[in-house]
Formats: sequence, structure tokens, C-alpha cells
Amino acid sequence: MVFSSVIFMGIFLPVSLILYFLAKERKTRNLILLLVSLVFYAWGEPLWIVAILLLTYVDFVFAKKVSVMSDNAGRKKFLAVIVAVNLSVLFVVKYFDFFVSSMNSITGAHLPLLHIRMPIGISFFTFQALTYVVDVYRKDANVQESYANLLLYIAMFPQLIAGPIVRYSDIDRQIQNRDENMQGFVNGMFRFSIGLGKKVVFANYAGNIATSLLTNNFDGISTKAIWVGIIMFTLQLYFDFSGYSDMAIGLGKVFGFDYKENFNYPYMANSIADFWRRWHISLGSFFKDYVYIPLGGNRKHQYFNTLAVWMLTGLWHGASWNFVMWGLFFAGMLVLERNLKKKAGIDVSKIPVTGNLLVMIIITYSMSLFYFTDIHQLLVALRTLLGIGSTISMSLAEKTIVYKYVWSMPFMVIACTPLPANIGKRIFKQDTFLGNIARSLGFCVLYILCFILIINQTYNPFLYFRF
Amino acid sequence: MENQNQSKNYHNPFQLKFSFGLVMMAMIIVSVMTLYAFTDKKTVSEKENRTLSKAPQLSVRNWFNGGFTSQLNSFLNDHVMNRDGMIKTATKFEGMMKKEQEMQITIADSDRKDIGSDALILSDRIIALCISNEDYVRDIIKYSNELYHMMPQGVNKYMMLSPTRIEFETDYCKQYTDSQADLISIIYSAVSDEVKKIDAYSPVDMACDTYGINKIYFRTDHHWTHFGASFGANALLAEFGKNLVNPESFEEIITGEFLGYLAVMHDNEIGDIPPDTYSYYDYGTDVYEDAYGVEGADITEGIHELLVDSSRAGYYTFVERSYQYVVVEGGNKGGGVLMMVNDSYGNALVPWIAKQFDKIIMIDPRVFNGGKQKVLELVEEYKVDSFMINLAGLVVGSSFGGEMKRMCE
Repeated sequence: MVFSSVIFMGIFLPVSLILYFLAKERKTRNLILLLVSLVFYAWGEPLWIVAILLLTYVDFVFAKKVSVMSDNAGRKKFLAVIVAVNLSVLFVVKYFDFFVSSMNSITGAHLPLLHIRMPIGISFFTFQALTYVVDVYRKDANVQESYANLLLYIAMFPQLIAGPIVRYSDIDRQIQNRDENMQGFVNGMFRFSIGLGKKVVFANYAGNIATSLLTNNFDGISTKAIWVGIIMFTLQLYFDFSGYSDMAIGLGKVFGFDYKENFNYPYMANSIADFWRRWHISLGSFFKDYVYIPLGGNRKHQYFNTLAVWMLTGLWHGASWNFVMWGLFFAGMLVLERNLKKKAGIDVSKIPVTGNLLVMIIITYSMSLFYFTDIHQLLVALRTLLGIGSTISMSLAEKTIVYKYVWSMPFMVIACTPLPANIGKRIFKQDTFLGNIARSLGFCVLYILCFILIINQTYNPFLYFRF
Repeated sequence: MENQNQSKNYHNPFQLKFSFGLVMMAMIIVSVMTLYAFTDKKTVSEKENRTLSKAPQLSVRNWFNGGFTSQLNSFLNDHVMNRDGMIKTATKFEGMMKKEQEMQITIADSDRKDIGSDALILSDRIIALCISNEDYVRDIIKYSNELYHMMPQGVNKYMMLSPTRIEFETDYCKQYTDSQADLISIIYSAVSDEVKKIDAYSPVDMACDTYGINKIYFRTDHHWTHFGASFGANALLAEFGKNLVNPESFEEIITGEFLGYLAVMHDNEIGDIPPDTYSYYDYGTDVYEDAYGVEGADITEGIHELLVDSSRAGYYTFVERSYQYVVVEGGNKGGGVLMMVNDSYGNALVPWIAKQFDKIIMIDPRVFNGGKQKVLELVEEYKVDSFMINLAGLVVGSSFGGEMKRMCE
């Protein structure tokens, strides 16, 4: 089920809230939240719900075992088995066909493909399950004694299919002991409506322009037009994904959970490293804590570790060579940035405005690696962006698309900065009467407006669902 | 961190309850609008001209293949309360985000473009853009030349390309279109020298200056008016050495208002655009009573019926276009026989010229499927002495040339 759909807004959410708040006891509330979450997932993936139930059960049993084992070597082996089980499911449904078809094209073999349709959100819930078993292994979190509670952590509908990746240790206690209150409800619903607005108004709109230029008019596209298209895709990706995170965090707040922030104005970053501290924070910190540091971090094989993490980050986003290239591109940029600072004394982040601009140009350029999954198209796009082998000026058809929409770009750019939130905070102080009225009215306007817009829009799933 | 929420402070429960109430109210409104779908009996959307989704039947198979959920989503989307009003509001809102001053530019996403799918939408008019396609232009030149070469010795050959409204619009509008003057010139220079090229551009340009563009072209349609077509007709008659027509000497009959093809095509994007007024000139319909439609259609009716066909809701200007070819009996026995390969601009022009010819055979390549053999048979059967390709400048952005190809095979 999609948050930005009639059924979610008109039926699922109100019914879930009513059932949840009618219940008085924590146990009942958790049970209701679990059941509605399972319905939420089963709505879109009626078969794969079984996989979540089974995988969670395996993790539940194995983690329990690990928690009582005293032999370190045995615990390590046991952990390796659990991780392998989780990752093998992910590998089979997401990466098997990619590897086999790559092998086929390299060797000329004809190994059969599985053609399994990837269930939505599998990368997210697999990683959440992994954080549980690893946290328990590391003794960073207590083992969960209730299968239902563990299932609730993994399958909770606000963050189930597109994150943020919530660590078990972060909400371990909240499952049993949290505070739902009216202030949290109002704030959470307002945050939800902000995310909904980002998705329905900005992301879908920017996405239409990007598709018009980069897909429908790609043949013979000019340098200027491809830049406009890629900028629009860059904006779409931010509004789409950060919008989903806003909705997830807001709904979490409504149910009394405090999820960590997933975005911190990434397009304000003044270096590539800074960008990755601000973009999809939960994924970055997952790879840092569960891959980069265990591999040795900055202490040993730093370059190899960086390469490995970014290869995996690329692959996490999709089983396709363009995502691998995207990951490697960032690995290269981070190494370059680090060496420029260390060896040449050039710190990009210290160059005001220009540094930020340069970073944004690099980020925007890299988005072509994200957009074009077809390698031939990708190579054309990469050289067209640099003005090689293409016309610079826009054709008439491109002009008509660009002139029609481009005036709204500054508004979207401003919406990517802290400016609107800062103005809002100054005028309407947090948790004051006026602030609450403004937030609830803001919710009413955005919620109803988005509902109206959704009626007129075709199915527009979130981009990160595919991961 | 963006939009951090703190939720520990609830000093004044009443104030909070008020805010909570507002949030709940919005959610209830949306829920009621959604649940209304289950009581809605509508099966057809007249505004969108389509059948609305039906409520799905739940079955094990339907559930596990995802059919039930996607059908239910469609059903709810189609039946929410006041759906038409919401779509209108959404369209207006989206229009606000798109509009550049008072103008919208609509460019069709696909390569397959119908005439008028690329358009400028203004508050009082919709204008079809002329966006040329090199392949299409090449096709028009290639197959025009093939058709001319196909004609037997002694047949005079003519070509007339007529400009459309965008060509005489303001410079601001014209920045989004290709120049038809240039394109017409390119095509004329590439077509065989033995073909006489008729300049319809200059008289229409002059007429727009003299009478105003809205008298020459429709505002909601991509065609010229009955009056506008007379200027093209006179350019043709002059080249043939025939008497010119003076539309102002005939009575103008105003039949009412209509929204043209472009308004219907861009229905979702236009606001309350004022409709066109339709008028035609009573130049003596009785003169053309022996007009015949032949091949693929059983019509034997007078020109009056061909022109004034109520089923075509206001398109009285045109001779019916949906036949493979139409033979118009002009009655002027010494006037010669003209075979014309034409689009709707030619259909609008023929009534003005018909009575000065013995016969006019009009072939519409979009529906003609007879091929080269049939064309030559018609030339022989009707003793054609003049052959003309008569198209609107807009065809350079359509696959009309490809359709002409069928006539050469």
C-alpha cells in the first residue's frame, strides 16, 4: 500500500488510528499495530508477507540462541549463519538474476534466470532484521522474548517499505514503553502531511518534467535540456525519499515512537562526505557501523574498506551496473576529497558557496548514474552532460517543456533548504497554542489538497520502494 | 535536523484538543469522501468519456495475484465523492504550477503525434504548433514527387501548402513553433520543377491583417474558417486562370457556437475558453447537387448534405473527409477535371472552387487504400487534366507523408 493513495488516506490510516487508540493496554495496542502493519504489507505483497513472518521467526530463534551462548567462536559462527540466511534471501530475489545474466553475457553461457519479482521494501526489512541479530550478538540490545514484538519492530508499517532503517537498539525499549500523547499526535500528523506534500506536490511534479526530458525526449537531447532534466530528477529524488521519511517519522510519532532523522538538508552539503552525512542517514550509518568499522574502518585497509562499502551501497540501491558505477563514483570522490585535504591542503568544505556549488554539480552529475539503468543511454547522458557530441542549445520541443515548467524550480530549490522550516518555527513557536493551530490547519490544507491531487494523478509509487 | 518535533509539552489540554479536533476533522472529511464510493452508482464519467471502474469481487486468486487490491484502488479513485469537482480543482492547481503567464504549452510526449497534440493554450484560444520533423518533411517531398511523376503526360501539376494560424500569431507565441514560411519554401524548392507552386501564404497573411486573425482561423480549432478558406481558394483559382470568388457577396449564415477539435483534445488543460462562432456562406448550394462519394461508402447526396451535416456538430465548412475519395460534380463542363490529394484544409476550400470545374476528385491519403493502380484508374476514368497536392503547413509535424506513400505503391 502506498501512503499517497486514496485507500491509505481515506480508510487504512483512520481505521488504524481508531483501533489503536481505542485500545487501552500496551499489549493490545502493539497487537493492533502489528496486525494493521501485516495488512499494510499484504495489501501490496500478499505472498511475500509469508517471507517476512518466516524470516523474522528464524531471526527470533537464532538470536535467542546467540544470546545464551558463551563460547565466542561459536557465537561468531552462529552469527555468520544468521547473516547468511538473511542475505541469501535478499540475494536470491534481488541479485541472482543480475549476477547470472552478467555471467551469461561475459562467458556466453545460457544459465537460467529465476525471474522472481522483487518484493517491495525487501532491502529495508532485511537490514532491519540484520541490525537486530547483530545488536543482540554485540550485546548492544536485549534479546526480544516475544516473537510478536520482534515482528512488530520489523514489520511496523510506517517504516516497513522505504525506511528509515530503524535499529533495534534504538527502539527496543519503545516497543514496551512509549508515550503516545495528543501533542505527539498533532506534531506527527503535521510531519506526515509535510512529507505527503513533498511527495504529491513536488516529487511527482519534478518527476513528470524529468521523465518528459530524460525518457520521452532523450533521443538527441541537448546539454542544456539534460541538465534541466537531471536537476529535476535530483529534486524529485530528494522530495520523494525525504517525503517518505517525513511520513514515516510523523506516523511513528503518532504511535509514540521516536525514529531518528533520515535527512538533514543534503543539498546544503559543502563536501561529498558532508552530503553523505546528510542523505539517507540511516543507510550510511548502517554501512558504517555494520560493514566499514568491522572491516577495519580508518585504521587499516581504508581504501579497500571505502571501496567495499560503496560497492555495497551501490548494489543495495539496485541490481544493475549503473548502481555499481554510482557507488564506485562516490568511493572515488570521497577518496579524492580526503586526499585533496590531506596531501594538497585543499578543503572543499572550507570554500564558501563555491564549495557547496561544486558539490551540488557533482551530486547532480552523479544522479545520471542513478537515473539511467541502460548502460548505452547512461554513457550518452554522461557525455551529453559534459557537452561532448551533443548540441548545447535546446531544441524547440525541449524549450517548450523547459519554459513551461522551469519557473517552479526556484521554489523547489528553496524547499530543499532549511529556510521554510526556520520561518515556520520563528512565526509559530513549537508546542504553543498558535503553533499547534498553525500545524493542525497546515495538516488540514495539505491533507485535503494532496487527497484531491491524488485523485487526478496516476499511480505514483515512491522511488525508494524499488530498493 | 529538519522538522524536529518535540512532544513533551502539553500544558493546556483544551488548546491541544482543539488542534487534535482539527486534524481529526480533516481525516473524517477524507474518509467520508472515500467511503462514499461504496454508495456511488455512477458507471460512466461523461466528462472523461469513459466507463468507471467496478467494485472488485474478492476471491483467493484475485487476492494473491494482486488484482483485488489494484482494482479496489481504481474503484475508490473513480467513485470518491464529488470526483469531477476534485479533478477540476486538481487540474486548476496543477495548471497554476505549469502556467507561464497566461499561456500553457502542451507538447505530446510520444513520437506519434496527431495534428494539434502540440499546442499553445491561451485564455481565449488554442493554437496548434508546427513542430517539424525532418523525416516527415523528407517523406512529404519524396512521395509528392513520386505522385507527380506517376501522372500521365499532359496532366498539369500543382502544389499548394496553406499556412495555419500559428504563423500569423504574435511573435511571443511564434517562438515556440517552426516557421511555416521557411518549411513551405523548403518543400516547394525540393518538389519537381514541372509542378506549379501556388502561393496561399501571401493572400492569407494579407487577409489576417485586413480582417483580423479570428475571422480567418478558428480560435478553438486548427482549421481555417469558411471565410479564411476563400483566400486559399482565390490563390488557386488565380493560378488556374479562373474567376475569383467574393465571399462578401454571399449571405453569411451564423449557425451557433461550438468548441473545436483542439478544445476537445485539450479538454483537461483549458479553462473556460469562449467557444467559436460558426458561420458559413450561402453561395448557392443548389449548384453542386450532383456530388458523389464513391468507393467504400454508399453516398449519393448533394453538396449541401456533404457540407451541412448535423452529425459533424458544427464542422459545416468541410466536405466529408472520411471517404477514400469523393467526386464533386461542379457542373462546368469546360472547366476541367482536377484531382486533389488533400487534407481537411483542402476539404474546406473545395466548396469555393467547385462550380468552376467540371469535376473535382478529392483523395484523402489517410483513408485511401487503393494504391498507385487505383489512382491511375481514377485519372483515366475521370479524364483528369490537373493534379494538385493541397495540404496545410502543419503536416510537416505529422506522418502525412507516410500515408501518401500508400498511394505510390
